[in-house]
Amino acid sequence: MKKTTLHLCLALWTFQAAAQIDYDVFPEVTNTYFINDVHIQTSPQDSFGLGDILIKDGRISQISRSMTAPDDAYVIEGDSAFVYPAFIAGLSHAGISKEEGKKDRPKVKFQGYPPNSVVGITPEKKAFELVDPTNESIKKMKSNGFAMAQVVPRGTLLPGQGSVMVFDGESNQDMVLIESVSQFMQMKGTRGFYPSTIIGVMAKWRDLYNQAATLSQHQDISARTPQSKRAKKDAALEALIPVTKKELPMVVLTNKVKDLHKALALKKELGYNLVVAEVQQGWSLTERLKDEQVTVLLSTKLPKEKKEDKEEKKGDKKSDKKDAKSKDAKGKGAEKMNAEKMAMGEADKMKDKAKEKMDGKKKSKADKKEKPKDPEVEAMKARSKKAFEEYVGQAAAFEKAGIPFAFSFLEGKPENIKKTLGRMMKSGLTKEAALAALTTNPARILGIDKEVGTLEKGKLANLFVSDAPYFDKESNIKMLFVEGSMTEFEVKKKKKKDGGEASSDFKANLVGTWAYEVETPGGPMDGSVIIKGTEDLSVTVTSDDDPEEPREGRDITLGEESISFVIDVEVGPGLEVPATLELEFNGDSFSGTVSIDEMGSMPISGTKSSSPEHNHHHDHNHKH
Amino acid sequence: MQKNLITILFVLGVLLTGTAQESGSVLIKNATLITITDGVKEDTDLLIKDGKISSMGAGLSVGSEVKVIDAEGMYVMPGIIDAHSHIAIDAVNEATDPVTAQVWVGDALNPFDVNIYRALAGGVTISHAMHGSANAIGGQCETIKHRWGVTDPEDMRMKDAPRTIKFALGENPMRVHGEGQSIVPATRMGMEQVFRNSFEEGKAYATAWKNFASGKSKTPPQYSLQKQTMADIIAGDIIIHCHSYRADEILMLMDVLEDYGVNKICFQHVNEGFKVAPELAAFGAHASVFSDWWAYKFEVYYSTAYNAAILAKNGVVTSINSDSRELIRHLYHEAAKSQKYGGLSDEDALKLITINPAIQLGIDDRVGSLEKGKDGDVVVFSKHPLSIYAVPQYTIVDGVVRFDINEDPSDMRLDIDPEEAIPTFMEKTEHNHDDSCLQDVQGHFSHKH
Repeated sequence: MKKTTLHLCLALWTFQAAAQIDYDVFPEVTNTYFINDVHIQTSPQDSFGLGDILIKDGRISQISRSMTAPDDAYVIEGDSAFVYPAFIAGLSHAGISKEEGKKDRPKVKFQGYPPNSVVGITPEKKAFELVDPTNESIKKMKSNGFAMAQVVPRGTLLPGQGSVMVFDGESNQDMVLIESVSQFMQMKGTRGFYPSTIIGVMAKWRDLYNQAATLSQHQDISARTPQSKRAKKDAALEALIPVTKKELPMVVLTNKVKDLHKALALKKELGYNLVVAEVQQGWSLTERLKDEQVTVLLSTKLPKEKKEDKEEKKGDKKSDKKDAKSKDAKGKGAEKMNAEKMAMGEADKMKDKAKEKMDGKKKSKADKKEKPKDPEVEAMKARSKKAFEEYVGQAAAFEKAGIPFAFSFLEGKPENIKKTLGRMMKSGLTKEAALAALTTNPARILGIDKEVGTLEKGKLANLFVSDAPYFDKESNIKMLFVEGSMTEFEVKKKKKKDGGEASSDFKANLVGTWAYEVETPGGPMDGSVIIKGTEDLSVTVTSDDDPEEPREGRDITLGEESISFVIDVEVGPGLEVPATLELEFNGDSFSGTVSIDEMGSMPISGTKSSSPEHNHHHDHNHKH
Repeated sequence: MQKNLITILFVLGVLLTGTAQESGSVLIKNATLITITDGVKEDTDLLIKDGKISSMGAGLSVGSEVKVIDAEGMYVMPGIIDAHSHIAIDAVNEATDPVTAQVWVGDALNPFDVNIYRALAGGVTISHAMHGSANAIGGQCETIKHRWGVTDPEDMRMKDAPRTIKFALGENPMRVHGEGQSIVPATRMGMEQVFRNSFEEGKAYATAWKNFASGKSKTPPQYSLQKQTMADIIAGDIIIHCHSYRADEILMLMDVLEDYGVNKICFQHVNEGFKVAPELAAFGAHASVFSDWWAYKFEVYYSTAYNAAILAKNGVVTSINSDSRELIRHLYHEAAKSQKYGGLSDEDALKLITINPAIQLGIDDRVGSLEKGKDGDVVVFSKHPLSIYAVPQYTIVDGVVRFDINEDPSDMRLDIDPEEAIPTFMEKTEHNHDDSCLQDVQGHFSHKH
């Protein structure tokens, strides 16, 4: 990826105070761009067909079929590429460092009365203040077609206010379009402090909300009543007053149907405007969400395809390919196929055949071993499959219900968006609804639909150029304009086929100490995962509660970018049960699940803490 | 197999339609009705119409659309009520402060907890989902109906049931906060002060808002859900359910309550209740006990299986509770044990798990006995419910059959995690006697050696 290469080198020699020149940043030569001969998708429903786009001063100046490029325009030969309105993420942490929002764990005397910062109550924070324009996450979003996002702070219960950010600019001030567009809430407690559990969280939220309303009332009285008791300053409560006045909506993280019910119950009780975000299991509540005029941001995190399903699919694909290949070879052979290619085809075929033989052998062995299928297990599998389909089909269900949703990206990765959309569309989501969820819907939800969302004269020039129709499997985003500022992308080389083995780089990166946090029903739990070794890795897990009792991992399995293993955990006095940890790595962080039979699974996440001495003993409750 | 699939589809259907508080009609024919409040009626029919008991008598008939259960040779009693349980909630203890009157387990209802269905299989139609006993004043509780199949937590609540709150005396709060945090209460003396302070705060809070409303003070006091809740207890809007064991601390709390004019109280566990039964009766306090479970910690050594009978015979409204997702499945056995030891009549023994817990939860005008106009919550037993051979056949809530022993598939999950591995065998991870009163607070004990 490289930022526009058109720089006016002469700018270096202009007469300016030398101390103020940033020699690494060059101004753009021109603010006028002319993209000719492209297919233009002006909105989710409408295509302009082949035409030209003129961009001037950050806005779309004209879309037309026969235009001549102005003299000052930088001309981009579209070559029948495809142009779409750039995407808008309904919710994201783009630009905010993962360290941001990590709580300090000072020695607090009373667990029942911790300072707001300890339990993640910082509604006075505004997301744009925390955005770093150079953060890697922004680049990732841009290379996947995103020009804007509603960004919310990281944190725990009330991380702060959402800001609408445009992904262009050298400072967060440059980037911010709307400073405060929402108040963000996650129904999460802090282990060891009030509120620690969901019941504490709900009560604390009622308290804060009603305190804010009372404070507002007090402020009004003080303003008109001289010599009355002063309303004391409270930044957190003051930040919530706009919510009580319905001037700001609450964006609430609601993965599961139970979370949705909680959010809806609180909305009903307290009466604010509600946006539900990261919704993964909302299909049974579409009517109610519609009736209660709740704004919906669906999660882009879908359940992982099960290994066996994947294998099944792969098997299908392979045989399809083989068929195609052999047909191909025949057809082309009859034509003017060159010998080299032919030979390669033959070689492939031989390989396939050899593999087939081996597969066949394996299969026959497996067949012999196979036990009769347990109807009870089969019935459970069938229900799991149905549940799986419901999760993947959620977006289609919302479309059918006529709810104009957008997507959130706190849990799903923006770089997977096309694949994710593909899975949703296979389950019935239309192409139009998929595009709307990334363009017109978020624009309307954020109140900026006059400025962005479609390609129209006068709107911000937020668009991307794809070398094939976007939803084609092989399409690549070549170029993105954000407010008329161009970024070009190198077309990625084909990624290694999945199902591959762990690379040595990945293994090397695994080795070290990783700090983890598990979200248990009783609040988060911290500790370290220590990975050692070179060829065969060993895993040790410690808990900050009991650092003297490390647990050795067994049944270690390495995936391409993942590791899974089993440890014994204590769930009661003297009662140990095996827990399976499945961790997916992304650079220096990981996320995954801890599963215990009968207890279900809990989310786990963590980051690399390079130094092995990093075991910070922030246990608040030390006494022997 | 076929049957299982049909039932699964039915359950899924319920899940998809998201039924609102559903009620139904059922006619039970030729049963022996144990009414609890009006004797035993042999060979009698009972008709539940639109969720309410509409008539009892011989030869009742209904249209073909109403489900008919032939209960010849079977026994019908009111749905069993458990006055102390922690099933169907996602959090039990907010164990961070000795006083958390503001929290409410009704915020954490979990309609997908399979223990609801298992309780139905034991004839239990209503349970009192309680906050735990980590705090002196724990959270508010919720009286739930076991409408297995609903997915909206709202649909589990027993609408208009009085508010209740958990208090706790003795070792648990002393250990969690006194030992754990080195704060009051570290002793039983400290316990009393925690209660008195909180009641004082509640009283002052109510006065402050009254003064603001009347214009006596110009500006509003700061809102506090905790103090408001204490004020509501003083106003008589909330029934206290207090975890307790020793006679001295039971007397202490009654003294405190008397000073604040509070009289709605049910002591829970109350293993030494038999020592102060006349005092409890005089105060109008209720008691909800185990049939024969004690000695699991120091303060619970002095106990007897005659407790329920002694309390009941002294005029204390007494119930038998489970406090356990396992025990909840055979509360009728627990009632029978009390009968064996204390010599209670059949009716008095069954009152311990029906009308008495209903009185303790303030819902006796609606449930707890077979009476015309009451909720259609009944359980059909194969034998007399106090017989060791009795097995629940049908459990009916608001006229809807929620458990039918003939339609009882092994997979009763309502909420399926598509990524969850299908277990091919079950490992035993539950305690036989799990003290779920202290659920969510393990972390606080991890350094206690």
